[in-house]
Amino acid sequence: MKNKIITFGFVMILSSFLLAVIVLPDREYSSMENRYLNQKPEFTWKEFLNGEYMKAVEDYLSDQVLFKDALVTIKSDAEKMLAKQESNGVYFGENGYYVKDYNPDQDKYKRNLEFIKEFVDKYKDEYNMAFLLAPNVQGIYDELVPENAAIKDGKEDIKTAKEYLKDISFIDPTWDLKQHDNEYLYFRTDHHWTMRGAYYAYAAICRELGLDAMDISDYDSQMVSDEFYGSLYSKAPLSSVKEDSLEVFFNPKGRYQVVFEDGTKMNSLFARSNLYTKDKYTYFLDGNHSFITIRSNSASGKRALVFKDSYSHALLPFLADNYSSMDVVDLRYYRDNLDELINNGKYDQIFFIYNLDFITSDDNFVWLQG
Amino acid sequence: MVFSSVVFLFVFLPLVLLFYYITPKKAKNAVLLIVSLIFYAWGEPIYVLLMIGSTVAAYIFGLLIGRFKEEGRLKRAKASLAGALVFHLGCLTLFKYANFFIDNLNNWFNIDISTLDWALPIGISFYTFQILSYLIDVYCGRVKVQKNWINLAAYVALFPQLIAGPIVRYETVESELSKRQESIDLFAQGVRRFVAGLGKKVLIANTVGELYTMVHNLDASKQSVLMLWMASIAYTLQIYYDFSGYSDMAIGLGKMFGFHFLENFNYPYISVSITEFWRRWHISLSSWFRDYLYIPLGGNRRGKLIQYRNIFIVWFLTGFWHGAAWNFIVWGLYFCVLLIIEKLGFSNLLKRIPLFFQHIYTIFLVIISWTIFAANSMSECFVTLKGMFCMEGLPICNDLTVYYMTSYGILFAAACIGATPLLKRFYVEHITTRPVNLPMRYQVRENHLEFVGATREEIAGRNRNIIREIVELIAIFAVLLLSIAYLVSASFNPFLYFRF
Repeated sequence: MKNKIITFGFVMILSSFLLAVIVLPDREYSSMENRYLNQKPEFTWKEFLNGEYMKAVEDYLSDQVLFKDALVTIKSDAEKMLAKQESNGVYFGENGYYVKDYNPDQDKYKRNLEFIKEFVDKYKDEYNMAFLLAPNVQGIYDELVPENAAIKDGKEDIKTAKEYLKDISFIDPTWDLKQHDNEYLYFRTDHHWTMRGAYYAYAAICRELGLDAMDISDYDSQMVSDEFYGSLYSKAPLSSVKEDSLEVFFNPKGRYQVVFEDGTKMNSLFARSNLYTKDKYTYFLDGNHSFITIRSNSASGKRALVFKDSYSHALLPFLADNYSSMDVVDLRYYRDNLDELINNGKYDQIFFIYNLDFITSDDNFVWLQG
Repeated sequence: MVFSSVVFLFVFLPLVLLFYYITPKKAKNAVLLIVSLIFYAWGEPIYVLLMIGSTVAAYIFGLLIGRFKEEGRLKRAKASLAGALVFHLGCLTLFKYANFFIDNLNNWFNIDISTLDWALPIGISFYTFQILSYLIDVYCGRVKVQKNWINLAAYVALFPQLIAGPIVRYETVESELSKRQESIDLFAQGVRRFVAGLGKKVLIANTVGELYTMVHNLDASKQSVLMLWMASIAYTLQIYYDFSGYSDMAIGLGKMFGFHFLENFNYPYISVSITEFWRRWHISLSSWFRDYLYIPLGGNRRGKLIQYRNIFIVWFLTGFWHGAAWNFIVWGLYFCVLLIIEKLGFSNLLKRIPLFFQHIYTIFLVIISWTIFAANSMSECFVTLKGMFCMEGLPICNDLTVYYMTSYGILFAAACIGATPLLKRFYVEHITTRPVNLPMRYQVRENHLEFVGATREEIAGRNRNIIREIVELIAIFAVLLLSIAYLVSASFNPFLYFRF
């Protein structure tokens, strides 16, 4: 009896995976992993003979396997149970926090800083410039990281940047964030900060540049979602995950319009429909765009240009109240002439808003050379 | 194709089982042959022709040797065997060792012979040794000539043991090639064995192996003495779990098709001497060298000097068999020296010290041996060994070492326990069941028989059996599912035998 169950159970399990691949339609995109999945490879003799085809089939099957997301969760759970403290490039931190590994390549980091400095030197006489360098979660909560783990908190790296950029306003919001470290400043499951965390960095900008900032309690705050599973969760999904919630601050008197690179417009700073997708952080300014313009009913009449990564998406909604118009450039995607943009823009202020993990690892600062 | 892949588990194996079991008995070996060729071609689409060529040659040489022996023309039989050895060892040399020889010649004589730009055919060492075992046994009259080419080809190509062993000798499966009995009980045994092997490979070997790779990719400034020791222990565990896992999967798959292969590993790490270690490690290889090389060379019957020469030859070649590189040769000779030392009387001395120290002595030398084995070159090997013995100026311990210890401690402990027979003993004593038939017992009472039935203990025993069966089922399917989970989300799944 037992041997029959073992025999048929084994055969059934293997063949149901086979049947599922044959019968079920292939998935194209995994919102869990935030990537396009491998599709059925085409057979060619050339690729068969050099082995590429077999590799492609293995990749295809691993991606399309039945219950893939659940199986990946089983694996991370098992690793966590065995006291492994990291998986797939993320650490399992305290209190349900995931912490992305951070061990930057110093040469690349310095190269990026050189690109920025070169750009700064070119324009610093004509424009006011400010650089906000956001620390990542372990820079504020060093106790989150597993003991002895080889992950840096980034304090040294912030100093390096400060040294490079001493000619312009350099804003390190670490102190401001630490003043509020009992609040919900970073997402547990995502590599971004929350809008609340972004607010304190915004307040630091305002203090440094002499801008008016509303008190955080003067905003209307609202919990727009309480089931956000972020990008770090996707890398090592645990079934014991504590999902994040998305807190948003609205200026009750603010009126805004966002114009995207393709000319489409949004009469809000927030893309409500993205709350129904997996990556709910794209609620802020509709996620990554090569170029957007944010207009507001600010009485200042001032114009700003912003170079940024996605950490800025939670911060710019505050800054929009200080500038009537902001042009926002993402160097990863923007390929038009920067000099032209700057010379035609009549900007009162140029901002750089980046987080440490991004500025130490991204390859696109070279585009600042124009 | 490797067993620990999604293609094998979810496409190849279920389809093969289906075709195999719907095919009538007479054609089953043909099915095995065809699917084995597909299995091999999936990893080696070109070298499959080489394997077919070798098999054809083995078939013809076998027929020749058999014919000449039958006709009593022993000289010709001997010549045929010699021809076969030249051909098969020639292929092995050409495809596995040619570049090694060219490189060394270039180095020594400062010349520039261009190397051959072909890769090593996976499994060539395994199937060549299987073919040789067949031909030599035919010559010695230990087995009969296989006149059915399908049977012989199926033996050589049989996918369960094709690419990572064990080296199944022809005599082991001779009778089962023509007549074997598949059954549900045997199949279930095969599943147990296969799943155990899959778990060993995917859950343990791959995960501890990650640590070895990680440590050796680290900048030397981040390493420590203890960390290097941890890495070597990790590799020691990895190669055991990987290799014996493959053997378990092979033996298990064999059972699913009605074959009984011999055991290849017998808890090598519990050995109390190096001599014992090699009786428990890769048994099919060491017994192959013993029976087809050491004994024909005269073994220990022709004086001490000849015996040591023979040991040297065997261990030089054992090392060289594992890969065409100096560190494998050094690894083989390292064992040669240790075995001779033990033979010279050290093992008698060893037996007098407490058992604990005998274990320490053995496992210590084994860990060192794997450090030599795992290195990519002799220079890398020296750096690692010097580091392990505090000669590279590394700190004894550092934060990262502590971190690795906490991260891998539980896994290491589990892997160490799993390398001993404790788990197996627990399984046999507490999980496997013996059939309990409740007795129908009668008692003579006055003038009639009264039905008494089973005692309370007997009924409890049967109930315990049911629980054990459920526990075993859960264990098997949990390991299978966990292995699948690790496989589909794995980034680290190496194949260690591409140099064998």
